[in-house]
Amino acid sequence: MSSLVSLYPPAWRTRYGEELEDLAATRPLGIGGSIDLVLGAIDAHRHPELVDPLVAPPTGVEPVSRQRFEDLRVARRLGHASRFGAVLWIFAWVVATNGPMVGSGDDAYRDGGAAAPFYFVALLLLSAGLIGQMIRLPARARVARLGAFVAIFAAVAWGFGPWLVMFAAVLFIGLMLLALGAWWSSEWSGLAALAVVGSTVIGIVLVAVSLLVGFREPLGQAMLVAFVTLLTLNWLAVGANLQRLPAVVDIAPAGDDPVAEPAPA
Amino acid sequence: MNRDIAELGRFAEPTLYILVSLSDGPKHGYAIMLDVEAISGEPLGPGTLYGALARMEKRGLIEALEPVDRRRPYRITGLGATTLRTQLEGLAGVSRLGLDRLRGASR
Repeated sequence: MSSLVSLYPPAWRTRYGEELEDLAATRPLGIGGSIDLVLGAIDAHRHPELVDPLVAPPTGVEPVSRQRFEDLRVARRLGHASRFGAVLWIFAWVVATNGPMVGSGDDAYRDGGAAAPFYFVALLLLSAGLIGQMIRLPARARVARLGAFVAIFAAVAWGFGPWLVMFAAVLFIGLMLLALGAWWSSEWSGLAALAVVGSTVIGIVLVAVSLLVGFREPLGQAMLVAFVTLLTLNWLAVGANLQRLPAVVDIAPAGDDPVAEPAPA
Repeated sequence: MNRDIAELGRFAEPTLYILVSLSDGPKHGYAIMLDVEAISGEPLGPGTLYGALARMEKRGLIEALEPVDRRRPYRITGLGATTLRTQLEGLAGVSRLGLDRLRGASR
């Protein structure tokens, strides 16, 4: 029952969750009741406006402990790191594409070695943002947390070189799982999830087409710029919803100070 | 069916039953569920119940009271009572007309 109630949007759970739990505790739902509850959750997602914002404000009223509040502050700092990583990511590619030409004739290539440290740190900072997401996301957002967990390691591994495409693939899958799972759990807005999934899919398609067709300059260069720019959205989206901290609504005398959980992005 | 209630789609019929259930006093969710089942003879699922309650609260047909233990009672409002009365009088008119026609046809 608890797992089915978790399908409802946060504002609905805040307003009606306890009553729904009470119903299940009083009488088992059975298959028909469970199906009805799932259909109710779908309806609730389609009609979030039905819950009175004054009763269950969008800013949320789920109580969190002081420790949780401090954890969210750490997550916010990690979100800042992720956003700084977006700048480094672009900078790394600028350095790489402006490196010195080595060799001559058909064997000539551009040496982007100088960009390696920036590239690695950029992906390390993405990993930091993903750790922030692990802190920020509630336990019920299992798919999103799994995606973030996988992506944390894949990001660092891909940081050792852009040619390690296997790690890139795992990272992209992890990021898309994170985005879709967080959206499904009402922790991310549809726009943020769409930005991550859309930019990742389009970016991968661009690179795949470039490799298959073998575009000549300047089209190949333009494809690379588009790919790098699109993927930058990942750093920004991962860092974005970590910035919102709960608003303190009440402070208990000691220890377990309840504060209001921030609304999902 | 009253236009306001008819606009509720699949929640229209549960809404009518819930209004009837609350017409004799406030009830919490479980009590409403049992009462509606007794009135209609059909089980009322929790998703449908709270989908209907949310719509009724939004339209001012009912209002939530302070919770007692974990259970929050709901009370019919003046608008809800008026809506229910209009609805039932409309149904009673249809019922009378239908019965009269059946009696006429059987002569």
